[in-house]
Amino acid sequence: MSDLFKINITYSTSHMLFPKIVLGILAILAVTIGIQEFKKKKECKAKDKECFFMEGFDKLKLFGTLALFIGYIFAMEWFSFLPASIVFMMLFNLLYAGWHSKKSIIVSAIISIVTPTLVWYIFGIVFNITLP
Amino acid sequence: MFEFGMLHLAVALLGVVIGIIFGAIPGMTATMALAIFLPLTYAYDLHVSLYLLLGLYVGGISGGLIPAILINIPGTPSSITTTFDGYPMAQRGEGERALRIGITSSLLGGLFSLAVLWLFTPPLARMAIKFSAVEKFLIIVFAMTVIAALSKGNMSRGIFAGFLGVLTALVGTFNDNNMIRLVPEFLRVELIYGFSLLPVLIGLFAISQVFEEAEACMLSNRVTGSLLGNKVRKFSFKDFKGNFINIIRSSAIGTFMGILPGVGGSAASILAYAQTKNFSKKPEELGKGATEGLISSESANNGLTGGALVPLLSLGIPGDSTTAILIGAFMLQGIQVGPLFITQNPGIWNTILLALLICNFLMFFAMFFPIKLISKLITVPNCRLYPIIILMCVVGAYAINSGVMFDVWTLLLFGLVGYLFGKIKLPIPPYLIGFILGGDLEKYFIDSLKGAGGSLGVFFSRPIGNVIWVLIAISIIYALYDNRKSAKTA
Repeated sequence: MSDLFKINITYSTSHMLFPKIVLGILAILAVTIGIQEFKKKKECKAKDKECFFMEGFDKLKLFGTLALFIGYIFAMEWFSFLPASIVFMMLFNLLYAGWHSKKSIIVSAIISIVTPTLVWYIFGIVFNITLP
Repeated sequence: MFEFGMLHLAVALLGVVIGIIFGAIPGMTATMALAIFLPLTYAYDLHVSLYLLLGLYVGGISGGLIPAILINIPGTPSSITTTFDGYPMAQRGEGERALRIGITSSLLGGLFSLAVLWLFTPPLARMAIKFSAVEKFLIIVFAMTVIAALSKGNMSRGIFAGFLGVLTALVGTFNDNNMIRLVPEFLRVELIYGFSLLPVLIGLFAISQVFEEAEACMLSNRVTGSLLGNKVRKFSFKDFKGNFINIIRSSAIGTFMGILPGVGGSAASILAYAQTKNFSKKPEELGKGATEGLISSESANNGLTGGALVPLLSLGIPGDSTTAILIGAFMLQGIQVGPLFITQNPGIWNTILLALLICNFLMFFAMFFPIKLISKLITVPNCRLYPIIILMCVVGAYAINSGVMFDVWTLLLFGLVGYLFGKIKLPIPPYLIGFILGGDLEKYFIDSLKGAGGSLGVFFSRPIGNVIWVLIAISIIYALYDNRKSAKTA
């Protein structure tokens, strides 16, 4: 009987003992949540269809953010921090604030030059923090 | 004893002002402010860093009252109840008066919680020193059941998120036998020590917010006209007359809710507001611009600041997601928070108390007098701020381990994870607490079992352990009861 409440810890496999327990708990919880959701759906009879994205969501800004972020990481590896940041800050600003008015583009340009330069100077030079 | 000088005062003021800005801009939180500014603390020692970070914390929690009162949008989740009475007051033309009442209440709540922190942390830590691996394991389990208990009708999702966080923490090398687990073959080098805490934190709290805002078109709050009102009724400290018990009760609720792990400010202020309504002589006036409600909400959410530091500094368990980031700051400086923290680092402990005191007063002065200027903050367009946030996050994540680009990828990955969690309604705070405590949870579990030859009976063999079991049982019973109640009312 006491063996039931005993766990043998083998040195070579001990690294997987706890992850297996956690995965077991997660599986049980996932099934519980699944059943709850199924019940809820049945009760509501899917009267209002839930969508993953919000209604009328901004496709360009959402996927643009993801694409620019990935591009920004690669650009930092290839061109170093300051040039990559100036270019990508400009792109992020154009994406979020638009490029239809001249004034907006000028503001974007100022922000994209001033902020990375300031960050580069304060963090990289004054505080000596490692930058890409 | 403690460290204080002009530099400390200057960084504390900087922290408070930046915190207020973050708190005041809807969508940005105190947690985000801390996550972004953490890399700046590399350049300083822990004492100076603490002034900056605690300033950000106090300012960030307090700044949320500005948009809550003026435009009916809580700047941070903890100022939800501030909108109930603050906004009706602003509509009556008493915006400035409401802001000043809110700011003063914030100060009082903050000071109350500081007193609790000062009194409660050392005895709790002294008790925790006697804990063996068994009690340490159980206290983490208790922390996780409390998170579940407060997931309001969402218990299973709360626990699921917590354990998912634990699983994420297990990625990498297991120190006992130096074996790597849960790592795909192509990332063996990058993930040998698992995910770094800070890119995960910044991703979950800042980058996920960028994605959410991008989805919602980056609509900024364009506000026109004077928001502060025509000064029909001016602020006076007499507004607090008859509210003494209300302040003490609300601050106490905020502080003690803060002590429970994983409880955000919103839960604290909602509970305090409900109690104020229960005890009020004119409950029908609450929600229509009653000063009582405003005082309650603001003293409760600032009460949280000191409260959340109690479990962090005595047990090493963060009280909320913002204090979880403070763990990161301690780790950066190579200091372990836990039961031995105060005895081993009395100077840092005193600095924390002094810094919190100073930051609360700085918050008061930085908001009370330049209120006209501060209220303009909420008109800053989000579309201009988020690119700067992205830049700061990238710099922060990259600098954490002195230049590892994989950390920036981690930042993006967890930004997407946080965004996805919002979509499938998984709460982020339990996930984060699970992630922070996951490694310790495993260590204490294995250590307890090894000490007892593998017998699970060891978890029931110690008196303090059994007391914790009772607490675990109470929180599970409460969770089940509350979950059922919330499900019925929904």
